[in-house]
Amino acid sequence: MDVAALYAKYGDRIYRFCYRLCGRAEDAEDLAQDVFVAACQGLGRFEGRSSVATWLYRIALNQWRNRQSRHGPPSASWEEVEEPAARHADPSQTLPAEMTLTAALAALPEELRAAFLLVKAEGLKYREAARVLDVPQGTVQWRVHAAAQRLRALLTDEEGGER
Amino acid sequence: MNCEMTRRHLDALVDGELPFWAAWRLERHVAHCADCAAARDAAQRLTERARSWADVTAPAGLGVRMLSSATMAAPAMPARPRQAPLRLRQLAVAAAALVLGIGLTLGLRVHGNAGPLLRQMVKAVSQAQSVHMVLSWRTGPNQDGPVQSVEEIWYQDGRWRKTSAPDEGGDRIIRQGAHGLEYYRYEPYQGKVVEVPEGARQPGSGDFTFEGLAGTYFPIGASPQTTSLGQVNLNGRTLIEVQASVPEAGERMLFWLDPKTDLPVRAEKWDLNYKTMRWEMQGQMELDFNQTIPPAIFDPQTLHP
Repeated sequence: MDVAALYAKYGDRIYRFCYRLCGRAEDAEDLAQDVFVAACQGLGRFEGRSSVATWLYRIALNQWRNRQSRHGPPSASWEEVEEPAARHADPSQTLPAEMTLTAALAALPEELRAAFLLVKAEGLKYREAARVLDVPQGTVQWRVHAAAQRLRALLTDEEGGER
Repeated sequence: MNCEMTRRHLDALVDGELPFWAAWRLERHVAHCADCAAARDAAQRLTERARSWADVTAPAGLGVRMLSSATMAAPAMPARPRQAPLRLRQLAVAAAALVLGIGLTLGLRVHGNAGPLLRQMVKAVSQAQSVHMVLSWRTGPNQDGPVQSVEEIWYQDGRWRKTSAPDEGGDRIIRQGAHGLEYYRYEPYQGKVVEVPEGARQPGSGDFTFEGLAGTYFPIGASPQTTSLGQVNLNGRTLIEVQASVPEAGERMLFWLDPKTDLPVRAEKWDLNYKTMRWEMQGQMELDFNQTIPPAIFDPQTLHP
């Protein structure tokens, strides 16, 4: 599979994950580009021990961490960034509840947010997420639970009656 | 299954990540517990919101820019084949079986001075039509961090089954071999996983016996002190909760007695601890008697869901 075919098949999925990680379209585009460039360079080394999607998610997370260590934390806080759904979807569908989830996710430590996004938003199985994060499956389960627990507490505060 | 344990696994339940029997156990509790049912619903709602959150598509033009950058990027050096990494975690999971086996064999055998409550427990086992035992523990070699696992035994009307949750590599401590279930463990002095020889199997590991079950999990030492904690509602039944403890050994066990028969219908032990220079184990045990176990539990198809 060449990089064009890779992008054709996984472009939307990886961009969406980058968007969920960064919270801003501009950063997500840069990150997604980095992911596919890195994938292109590493395609020959891909051993097929995990799925292509899992491999790309892993590259995305590594690239995201690299960018954070190079550039520091994002210049805009998550509370200030555009609401992802507002850019490509019908603005009338942007509900206050979504904004609350965005803010609540921003309050999570990176490791919890990554596990939660991979499993709950991207729909990966715990075993797949464990490969992406390079941690045991039980650790993924714990991180997802811890993230969800914190999110539910935060959303309860803002929405009332979530729990 | 209590509320704390249930809440800890609700997200995995909603994500469809629990084995059939574990999901059934949780759902059974949730069906009788309004608080846990509400927590399960909240977990479901959060999952649905997360799945639809920020569901964007890549902007037009990104593919072209990406292809341009990728073309300009230097090609990668040919890769050298990598050696498969040591599967330390796999070995650690198998080690759990060893540590647990030691704990069961040496530390938790029934003692001749066991109190009346423990005798009632033995009687409950011997009269049970069905038994469900859950062992869950965390263990691992000190250098590799903890590993969690769950092992369950089911018995009903002469049929029994024993299984264990898979580790992250998909391997199991209990495997279906040519001659039935085979029991493996990590042997630290050999540095590898070995099959436990037939003659070394403990009662209850290779073959289910009431004697083996009844002779396990009771503390060595003096007769435990018992304290009635009053009536409780457990899964829709009114039962008497009793604590048995051996303070000098740091042992504690909880029993739930049927007021009509005075026999335990459930027991829990939360402090199965074992520690050596190289290994640590912390575990817990749950026993249920005479519940209705779905026939699917004994269906071989559910062994590897």
